Amino acid sequence: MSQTILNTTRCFHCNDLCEPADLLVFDSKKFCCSGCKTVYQILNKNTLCDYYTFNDVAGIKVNSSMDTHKFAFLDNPVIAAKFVTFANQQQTAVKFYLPQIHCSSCLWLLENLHKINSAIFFSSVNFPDKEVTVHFNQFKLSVREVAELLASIGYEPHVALDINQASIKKNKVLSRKSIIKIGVAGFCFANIMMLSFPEYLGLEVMAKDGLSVEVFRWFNLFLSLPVLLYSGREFFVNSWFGFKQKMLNIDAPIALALVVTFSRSIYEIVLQTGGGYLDSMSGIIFFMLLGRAFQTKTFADLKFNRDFTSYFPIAVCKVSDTNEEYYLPVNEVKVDDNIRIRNNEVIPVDGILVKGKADIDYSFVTGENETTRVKIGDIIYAGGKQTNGVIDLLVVQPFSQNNFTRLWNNEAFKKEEKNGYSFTGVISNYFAAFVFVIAFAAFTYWINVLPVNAWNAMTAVLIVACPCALLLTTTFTQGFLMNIFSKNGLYLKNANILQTIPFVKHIVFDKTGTLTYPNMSSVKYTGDKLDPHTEKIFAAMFAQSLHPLSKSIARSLNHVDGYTLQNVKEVTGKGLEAWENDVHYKAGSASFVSNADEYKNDSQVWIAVNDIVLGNYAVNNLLRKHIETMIFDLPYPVSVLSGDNSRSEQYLTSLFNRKIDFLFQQSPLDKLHYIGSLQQNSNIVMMVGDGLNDAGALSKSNIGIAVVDNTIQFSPASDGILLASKLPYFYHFIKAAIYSKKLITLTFIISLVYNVFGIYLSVTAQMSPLVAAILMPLSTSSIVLTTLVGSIIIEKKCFNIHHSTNY
Amino acid sequence: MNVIILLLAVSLTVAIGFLIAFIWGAQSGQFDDNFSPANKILFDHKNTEQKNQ
Repeated sequence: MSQTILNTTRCFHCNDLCEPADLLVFDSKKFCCSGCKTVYQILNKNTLCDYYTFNDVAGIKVNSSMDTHKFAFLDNPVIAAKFVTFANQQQTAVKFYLPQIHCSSCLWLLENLHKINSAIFFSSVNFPDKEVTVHFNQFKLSVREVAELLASIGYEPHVALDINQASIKKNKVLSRKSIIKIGVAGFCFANIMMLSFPEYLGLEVMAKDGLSVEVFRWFNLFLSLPVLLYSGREFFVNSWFGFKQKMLNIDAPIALALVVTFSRSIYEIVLQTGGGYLDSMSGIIFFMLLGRAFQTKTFADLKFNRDFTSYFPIAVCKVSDTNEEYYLPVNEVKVDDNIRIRNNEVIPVDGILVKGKADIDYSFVTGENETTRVKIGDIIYAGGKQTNGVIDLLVVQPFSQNNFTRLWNNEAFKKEEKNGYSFTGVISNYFAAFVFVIAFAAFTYWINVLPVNAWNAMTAVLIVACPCALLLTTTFTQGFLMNIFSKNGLYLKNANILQTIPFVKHIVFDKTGTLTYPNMSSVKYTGDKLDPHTEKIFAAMFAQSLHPLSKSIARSLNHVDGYTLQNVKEVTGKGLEAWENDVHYKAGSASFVSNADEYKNDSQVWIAVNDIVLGNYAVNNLLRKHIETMIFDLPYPVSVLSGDNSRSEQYLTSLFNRKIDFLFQQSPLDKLHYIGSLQQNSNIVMMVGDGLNDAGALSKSNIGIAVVDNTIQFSPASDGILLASKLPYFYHFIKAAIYSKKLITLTFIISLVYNVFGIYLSVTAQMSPLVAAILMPLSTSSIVLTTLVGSIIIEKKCFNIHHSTNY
Repeated sequence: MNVIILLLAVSLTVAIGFLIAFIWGAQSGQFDDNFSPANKILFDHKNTEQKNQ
């Protein structure tokens, strides 16, 4: 925190805090990195600096070391054609998915692309889908160049195998349909209410001069038809599907209430005994649809059930015998092809290393934190990420049969049907049974006392006491809560998960990448104080080595001046040696440095000058910020699983001031089995993980939460996606879910009061259309209001913490 | 008072006209993006103006 007070210089482009060491100044504006400066220069040159005036945090941080080959695959016309939406003699249109789009500045800049490159005619943005369509002259510009232009100003197109246009389109049609349904229901509801006014005021007695209240009633009946048959259709369809599977779902009581209300209304209107309850009926449908639309608000840019293929690049660089490079789609790669993988690229097929230095980062697949060094002639498995320059591979398995795909298709990883814990589902079943008993009791009472009232009383009970009020509280509370959650960085797949959270009994975390930063480690030096010269020599020494530990130490020593040593020798698996001005420097494992074997911990790197041991650097995973307090606050048993070896156990245990079960060297299957064993003790288990190695455990657990650094990042299938920066607030989300359960109970009690009153009137055969017309909207609006106020209070209570605790 | 019946029919016809307009609008995608059109209208076109002058 003291750092943030000292350092308040923010980058002009991306508004991030600038590290003083990296600060760049251009045009008397400050930038945090050369990437941001470059974007500013491009915009400045093309007089597009208005970009910065619309919003404070418009700019998107750009990775300055972008690989120039990143979009080379778009030179292959077959692959490029996947993005082309339209082409004729004069122009081509391409559509890219840009997940970075977030504000009006983005919109403005992306629609002014023609000012940056004159070969672009125009571009248009679809904001909710985060897509841009660029129309350009194909003779002056290629698809690849368009992608690179977008990337150069911070909007790197996201290309993955799973861009599933069909499902997006389907969602769009569905959401349009639900808007129309609500519109029709609202229209008819309002008009029926208006036309029922004479009825409410008892005007039938005044209708002397030929104006019959009958006309209003028939108009009402006519208006109620589209509500029942079009808007309310889904209640009947859903309950029919449930009925066929011999299940009574929550739509069944609604459908029954609608049928009873509608038939009684027809009966009254035809026999001219009354106006019926058509206003209540259309009101119920309108509010239910509204609540559902609110609850199922989808997150267009999040994919919860991503296919693993989206983790891989869509094209691979193939090297021909004549050493020419060309790109082909990843599933067309054949055995014995030569492929080239560049730095930071994911390896899509299993292959043998033929050229280059391979340091493969398998952390996403295995949870192992350190990179694996692969020798020439050894096999590299798909799913790893190359971290040390360009390598060439000889393919041994095609994409569809690689090791990774087989792991993914493992039976144990198949998604099981999850048993959600629907609190309201249980209550509404009891409630429905209770209502039936009362309705039947009222019927039997009146059939003996005054048979005329019997049917009236029974149907009135069913109309008034339909469980809609209860369902409304649930849908609206969950809708509000889902919005609050997503505002605070936790995106839930559906509302049922919200209902399951309060029942959680055990929480399991993955270590690598979830609790710790994926590629950062903390380095701590203990020993004799080093003079600046010695430290500089060691920094240069570590910088010249490619071992992961050396890299971490070099980073922490801030080796910036490019000082290089001439005589450095790396002894594989042991350490480094260097000679400078007849001084002998050594760094490495304890046995290598001092020939003593009493220092066992292999996360320590010892250093010695002329065979005198000076001290050691302890390298450990760096926990994300405020994780210790977050875990400490959790009133649940907590387990931490890791694919790493157990050497960091002592270090981790010392960090957490509570009991935690640590399990190390867990394979993806071990993790899955561990969750299964917890569940066998009838525990509801929540799993928080990030990598593919957690995919099995995430799907096995009752609630699987994937932690991501940004929402574009590939994440395994899960029930919720949590931004890593919000992990410290993890417990606040659980608390909010528990409060929401209480809120639902409270609103349920309120609706019960209305119901008891309504049922009393119905049973005693005093229910009139006027009372029903007042009671229904009153109960609905007070319930919606209570859930709204309650949700705001929950948000204040659980998430308004930015002021008190400065995370 | 029979005029009320007539007014009722007229008002409903007008209202249904609006309902049809709404359905047409929703189906043609007018409600798909409620962000860009509202913001686009606020952007100035400085450069084109300068060129024209």
